[in-house]
Amino acid sequence: MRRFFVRHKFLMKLCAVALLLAIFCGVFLIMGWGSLLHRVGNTVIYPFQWVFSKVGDGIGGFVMHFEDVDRLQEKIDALELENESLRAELSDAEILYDEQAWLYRYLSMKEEHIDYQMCAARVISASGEGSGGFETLLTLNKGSAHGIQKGMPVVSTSGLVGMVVEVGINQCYVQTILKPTSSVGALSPESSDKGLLEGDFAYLYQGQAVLKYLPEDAEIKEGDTVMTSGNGSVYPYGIPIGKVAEVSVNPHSRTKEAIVTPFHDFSDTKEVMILTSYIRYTEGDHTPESEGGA
Amino acid sequence: MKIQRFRGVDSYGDRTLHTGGYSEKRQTYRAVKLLVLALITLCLLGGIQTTLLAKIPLFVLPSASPALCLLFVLATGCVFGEKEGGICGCFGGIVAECLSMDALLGGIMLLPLVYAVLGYASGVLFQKILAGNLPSFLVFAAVGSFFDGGFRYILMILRIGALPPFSFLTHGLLPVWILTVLFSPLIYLPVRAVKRKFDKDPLVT
Repeated sequence: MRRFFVRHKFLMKLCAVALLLAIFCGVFLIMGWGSLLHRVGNTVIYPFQWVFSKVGDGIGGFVMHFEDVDRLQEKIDALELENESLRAELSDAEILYDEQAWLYRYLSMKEEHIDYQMCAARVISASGEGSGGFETLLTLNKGSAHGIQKGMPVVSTSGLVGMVVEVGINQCYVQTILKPTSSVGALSPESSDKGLLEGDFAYLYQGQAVLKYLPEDAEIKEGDTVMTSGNGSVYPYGIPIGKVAEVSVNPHSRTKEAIVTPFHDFSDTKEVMILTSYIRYTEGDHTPESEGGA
Repeated sequence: MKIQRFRGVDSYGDRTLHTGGYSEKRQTYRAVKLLVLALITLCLLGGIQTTLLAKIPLFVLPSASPALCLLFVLATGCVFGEKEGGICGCFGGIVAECLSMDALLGGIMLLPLVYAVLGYASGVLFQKILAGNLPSFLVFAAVGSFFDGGFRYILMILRIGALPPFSFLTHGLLPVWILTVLFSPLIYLPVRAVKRKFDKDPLVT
């Protein structure tokens, strides 16, 4: 042991100095100056720490940038997914909103004609060859499986559209009032003049139909409204059709003709209602005649 | 002796220095130069240890940075000798104590004593037991870091009363120990290079 102390005299001196330092610190601590040496030491080391802190910030920021790229990419992916689902939800909501608005408009019609039993249908396709963009034949997404039958009238919120001419299981075909083969019993409530509204090639390009066979002394004039008369076996009484755009006299048949601009826009039909059942009335007689609808 | 072969005027402008053997002045100059260099290096390493390395997440080890001051003390002891290691350890302990976020034992500086012993022991053991190469230093760095961690654990127990040993091992000792061993070549090799430069410098030998 003595040999060890003699051999490592320097270590003993060093330990003594270190112990003295510790004792001094202990004394300072008792005197209330415990942090004095630390403060002195920190003052000396602070500039070094400051420099490396700045360097560390730079490196840390640089490393963080690359770490963030992955994290941000993950976040972007997650947000894109969320955005996609939200878009789908929004699209659904928009469709529902449109449908709701559409149904609301029909509700007012339903309130007006409580006897109407209606079936909402969506236009799958529309054709209007040689019609200048106006629809003459519509394909709807409802068919015999939904109770649709041939001859049922088809209306929109703005007015008469046409009638069902062909029925499949899940689809049906509607001939619009613009089609030259179509004819609808119509009248003008202002003048009480009756006629037959027919599609005409001459006016198809303007999206108009012609109210024919009006009496020569008919008082119908430009701007008068035209609606279904209820005569015939297809259309109920009082469905608005359009407005008179022009009145002329046919010199061959000695009858008047009125060119009618339909209320319904036949250039962009999306949703319609098929009247599946209604009570048949005739002009001036509001007692039900019979139940109509094909 | 290299000094005897040197001919010329040194930084002191004293020609008599070149003709004699070891002088007191020369030894003092060497010691002061070494001490200043060691102190600056310790401060630099302390700064790096507590700021730069503490900010960069190393190997997913949370709040752990290698004990660079301890490594420098051990490297000095191994390369320069036990006396230099002891003195450097004393200063290294002061720096390490000042760098501690909270004083380990309420402000009583005990780390200088520990570091001085470790620095001195590294000088003695490195020359007597271990071979003077890098793998030997890695072993010594691991042992030294383990002792340092153990001492800190004892001081913390003395200070806060109780500390779960497993938690301290996994969260405190082990990460620091691994990082210290990994960083040891980065300290040892430059210190050895400085020693070789000192050996070649005719003014300081």
